[in-house]
Amino acid sequence: MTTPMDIEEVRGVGDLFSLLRLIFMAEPSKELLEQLLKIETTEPENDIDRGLELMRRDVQKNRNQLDEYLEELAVEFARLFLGPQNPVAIPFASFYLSETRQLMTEVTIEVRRQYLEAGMAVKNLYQIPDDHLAIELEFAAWLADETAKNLKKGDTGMASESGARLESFLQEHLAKWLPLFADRLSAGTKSDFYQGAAMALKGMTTMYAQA
Amino acid sequence: MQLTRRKFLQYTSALAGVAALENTGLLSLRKLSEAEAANMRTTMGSYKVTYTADAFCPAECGLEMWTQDGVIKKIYGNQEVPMNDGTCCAKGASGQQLVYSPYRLKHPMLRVGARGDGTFKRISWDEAIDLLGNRLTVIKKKYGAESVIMDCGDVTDRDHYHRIAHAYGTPHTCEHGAICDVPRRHGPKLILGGKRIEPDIMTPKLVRQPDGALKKEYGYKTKLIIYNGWNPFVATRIYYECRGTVGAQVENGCKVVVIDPSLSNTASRADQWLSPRAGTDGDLFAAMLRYILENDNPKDAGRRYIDWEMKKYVTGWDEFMDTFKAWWSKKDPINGLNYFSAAWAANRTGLTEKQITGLAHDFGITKPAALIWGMQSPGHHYNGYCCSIIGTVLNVITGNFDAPGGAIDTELVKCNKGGPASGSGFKKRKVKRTINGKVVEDEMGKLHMDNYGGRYPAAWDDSVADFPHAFMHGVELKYGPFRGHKYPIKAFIQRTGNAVVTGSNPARWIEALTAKDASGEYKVELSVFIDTLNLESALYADLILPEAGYTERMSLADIYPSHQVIYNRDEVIKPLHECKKPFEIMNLLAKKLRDLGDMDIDPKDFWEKYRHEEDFVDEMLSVSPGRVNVGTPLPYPQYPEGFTLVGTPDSLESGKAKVDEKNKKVVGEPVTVAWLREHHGVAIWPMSWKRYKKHNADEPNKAFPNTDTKTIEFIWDFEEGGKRKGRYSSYNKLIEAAGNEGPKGLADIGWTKFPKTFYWFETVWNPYTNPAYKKYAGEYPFQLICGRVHHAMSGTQMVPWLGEIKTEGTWQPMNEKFSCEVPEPVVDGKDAMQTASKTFEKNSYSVGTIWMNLGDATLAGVKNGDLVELKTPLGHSTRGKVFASGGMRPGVIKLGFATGNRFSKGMGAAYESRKYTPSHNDLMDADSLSPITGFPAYADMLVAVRKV
Amino acid sequence: MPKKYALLVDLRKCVGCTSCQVSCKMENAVPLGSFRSRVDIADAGEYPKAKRMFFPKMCNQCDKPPCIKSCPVKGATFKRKDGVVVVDRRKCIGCGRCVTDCPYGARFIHPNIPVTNDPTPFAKTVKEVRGKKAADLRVVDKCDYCLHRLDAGIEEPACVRNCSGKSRFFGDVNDPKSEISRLIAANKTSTWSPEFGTKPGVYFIAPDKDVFTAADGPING
Repeated sequence: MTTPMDIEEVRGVGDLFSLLRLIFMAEPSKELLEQLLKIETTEPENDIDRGLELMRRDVQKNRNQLDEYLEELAVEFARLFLGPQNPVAIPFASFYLSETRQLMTEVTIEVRRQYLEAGMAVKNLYQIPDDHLAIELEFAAWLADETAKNLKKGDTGMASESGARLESFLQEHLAKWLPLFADRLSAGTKSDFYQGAAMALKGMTTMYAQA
Repeated sequence: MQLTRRKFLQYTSALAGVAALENTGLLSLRKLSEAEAANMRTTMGSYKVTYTADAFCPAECGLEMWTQDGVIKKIYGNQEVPMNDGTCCAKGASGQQLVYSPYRLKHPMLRVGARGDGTFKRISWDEAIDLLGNRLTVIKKKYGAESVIMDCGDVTDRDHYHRIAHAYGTPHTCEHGAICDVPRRHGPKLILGGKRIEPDIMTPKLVRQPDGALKKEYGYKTKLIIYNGWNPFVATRIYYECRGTVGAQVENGCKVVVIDPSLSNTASRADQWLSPRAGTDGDLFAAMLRYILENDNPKDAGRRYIDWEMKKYVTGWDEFMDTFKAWWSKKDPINGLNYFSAAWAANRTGLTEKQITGLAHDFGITKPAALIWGMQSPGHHYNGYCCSIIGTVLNVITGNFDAPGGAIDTELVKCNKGGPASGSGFKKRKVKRTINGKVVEDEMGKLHMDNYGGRYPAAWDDSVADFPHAFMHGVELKYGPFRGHKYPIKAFIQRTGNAVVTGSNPARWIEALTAKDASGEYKVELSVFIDTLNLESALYADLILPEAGYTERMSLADIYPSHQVIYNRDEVIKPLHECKKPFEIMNLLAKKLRDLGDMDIDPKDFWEKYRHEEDFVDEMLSVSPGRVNVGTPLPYPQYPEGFTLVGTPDSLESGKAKVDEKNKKVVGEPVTVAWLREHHGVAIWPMSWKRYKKHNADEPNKAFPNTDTKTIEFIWDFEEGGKRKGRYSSYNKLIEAAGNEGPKGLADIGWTKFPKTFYWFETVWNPYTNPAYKKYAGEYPFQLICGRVHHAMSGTQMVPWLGEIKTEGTWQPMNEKFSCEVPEPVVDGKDAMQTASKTFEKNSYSVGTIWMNLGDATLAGVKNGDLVELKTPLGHSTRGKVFASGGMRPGVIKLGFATGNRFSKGMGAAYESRKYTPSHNDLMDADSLSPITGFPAYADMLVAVRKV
Repeated sequence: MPKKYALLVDLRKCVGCTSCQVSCKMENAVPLGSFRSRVDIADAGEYPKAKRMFFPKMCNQCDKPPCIKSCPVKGATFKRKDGVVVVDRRKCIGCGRCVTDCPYGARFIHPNIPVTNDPTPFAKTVKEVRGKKAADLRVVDKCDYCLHRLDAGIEEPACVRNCSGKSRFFGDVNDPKSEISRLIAANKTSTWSPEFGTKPGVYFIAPDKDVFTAADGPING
């Protein structure tokens, strides 16, 4: 990390990645929506704030018909990320960064190598391409969490190692494709919830993943 | 990294509560142990070789796949598999682009909107199986298990699904064979009990030498190959014909004749290209047979057409020939000429008499020769049966059947596989049905909607094109013990097929799958789609299950070689995403049905019996090779002639086999997946020829071919030794038992029962051969034909490498200018590549096109690339761009199968181009189901062309 | 005698399947729109005398290669002793002169592989790279008979291995006993446009000479 690390800051970044991970991993659960309601940004200043606020308001608007809303989001999630028709925003890095636009390319294997260097691996190795958005966000969240833990322990050596890993992963990898993904997403959805998610994701990239 | 604390302070605590890693934990990643990480570090980057079988196309070539880090990197042909002898076509080599397509199905999906609107949501496998099991349980209780159809569109690896369907209690399992060239296979099936006659040009062949050793033989013996409506270089079902045809030509001076209205790639390599009118193949064959019979002279070396020795092996020669000859004196109403004369055939085919008699003479005099007819012609005509029967007879009477270098019925000699695994034994299970107040008990198999229904009882391969009728109107059994039993079709499970586009006219299928009953429910209550790709039929499914792709599952390939060969389809990579193997889906559903109280499902038949995928494949192999020890040279001289062989090649060779005199069987060590893996993935047993005769005497061995009498049968309903025999006899018996009430199909051509021997009837929508259609010729001057374009089928259209290829006149770079996102180099110095919007210039990417004759196009005022509309007398229409060339008979227009109007997203460029690519099936007559088996007359239609 | 690799295509056995083209893409990760190996297909003639010709094209590995002459960087492209004309990606500066000068269109600028050799020292004489950094430029790519396979001891390019018609033959023409030498000795062979004077080294058994004129577009273009 280029600036001295603050434990709270690192935690905050990690928590944000962890939240985004949940949003892009699966259709929202009731619990997740309820928690999202608590995230209130009174004076949105950047795209992260604005994105989260857009999501919160959408949840707020629909809180009296939560079951229908959950169903709507599930259908939209499938349309956007899963299929069966061409998904709007394919959530794999290799789709954006490989010449063939396929899955499981060199890009995927490089991500696998980075996980391995940090001592991690995908649970369903060889089945789920390693560069799925939610997995990459989980990796980022985990690196932030490690950094924070080490800072708390006072192990600055370890903290700066995982911090550097995080920074490199953000700048060398995530920054290259998240904006492309987020653009496709925001161009392809009418749902405020996912508009907000796209905005927050892009804001996150702008703020923390630029070199 | 600049972290601005202030921005977070507002909601940090809320964030932590929601999502912090310490609350939710790792969901997708896990911490590796030191040992695990070390192991992964050392193994990453290394290659692993797996021998497997393709299933991207039905040739199922043996492949050698190299994987690195669990990812397929290289694809070559397996050098030990004689089907492809180390080679691999463009499609095979492009497999990665399909396997790793971002558009493949990844998760179980549940329909949310109406059928057809394409709205789905993800559900878990547990939910999916629960839903499927519950719906099937209810349907079985309410309507009977026979209300369920399991259509395994793709032939490959279907046994798991057939097994679960049969165990559940339905006899309705079908596959691709039901919608592909059924009439073409009919002649061999009637006469030989076979299916698919191919030239003897597969190399290498493993042959027993005079000294007793086995040797791979590479040479060619064939001197003449006639391909009628068969285009192996493009529709590479029988892949060895790619190298064998040109190999025989160059190395053995073999003459190749291709009969096809279009200059196919195969025709372009032929020594002679004959282009008759569409749908007249049978006319040509009939004239050849008549010419050969009339001009044969055993005493004249220049006219010694017929190998009269053949009569020893044929049952019903006289009956067939008498019936055939009885037509000669009749006059054809369309032209007033005598049937089957050269003049008659010339009038109908548009070929010259000289061409016709010349071909007959060449075929009669040149030996060894092979007469082959394909799916692109008799296969898809209303009366293709006649052509197929005469073609088979021509090969037999000229002495070419199973002769070295001659014509081999590959169905009869390919390796047996499957055995009890497919669960057909469950069809013998006794079931009770109440019919008109009376309880009837008999075998479940006799509930079959086609075989015992009133429409197409001889639909050996099922009449999928007739399913929409059953969906709309239900089934009424007319034949067999359950006569009078009525049931609806309530569930349609489609696995790796796309019946909505390929099963007949798509409009008919859509109508049937979206039809509702009076209460507003869909008539077909449950529609399930199981596949790796999202095809049009998925739009009409309630439940979509993602199946493991062909590199992700285990099974076998036996295809159509000249002798017994079988090889592994091995698991090359793990199933991607949430896809499951057929094996897993079978067991999951079986368990669920059992849990829901279905006592027809016995754990011992499923999960207790097959604990691993390999167990299932081993059982499929337990009957291999399963063919009789016959022919010359005798494959195993150490074992009795005519005995069925079972076991590995090495155990049979080394004598480690038991001779079971009672069952006439020689049983060696069973072939297993493990054995195959140790042998380059493949097992090969020896070749022999003239397998219908004793190896040391000129008499039938009565063990081959696969007919009732074990001889070549030219009659199909006859008595011998007080027993009714022949391929049609069982159907005629059913008809007789039903008071001579004939089926609908036969009634269409004025028949009640199936004929005893040679028959003839005209095709439909052909103004040159059927007087009923003469009136359309003026307004609709073009005959429409179709043909498979290997590079342009459903899966293939998702593969960009194949979009860079053009094929014949039906797959050409004629795209409209379109923009889409592609990876492009970024010249800012940071990245190798980024996705950018790129414009594809007009005419740079191949799409389905309309192929017509250049002169015709000029007359119609259209030129290459013009958009035209094709319209039929029935009012159907489609649009596409014209490719005009000299390589098309005037008056004929050709389209590829399923190369246009692909309306499912997820079909890549094919979806983008749907508005200017033609759909052949949109034009077909859904009511033209051929009389014998209910097969759709895909290739019989007339069209007018209009520039738009 | 040292080895000299060559390729022979027996057009009598080419069935137009294009496996060579796709197998090459698979083996060498050739990007969309660019080709190391390609089959040109031409329809000609009027019914019923129509014909279709298949013409598989790849680098001719010429004995007088104009591409090498045009290269401004010593050693960036050269002909190996075994006859294979190769590009050294570490030296190529991506000026593209060889691409222009190959009369067969056998070379292309690979859109995805950046140049690593610093072009600045060449800027004076090579205007194509003037003002550009290595990362702005892309290396040249071409058929090299699957050099990585040759180097691994597999003397068979992927296109030869997978050829459906078994129409392609690869081997050492300096070895009279090799299959390719025997075929050249036993048949009349041709080369593609020898009039260019490049001494093309890929042989064709082509009974119909029209194939060379009917399907005469460059490989990349």
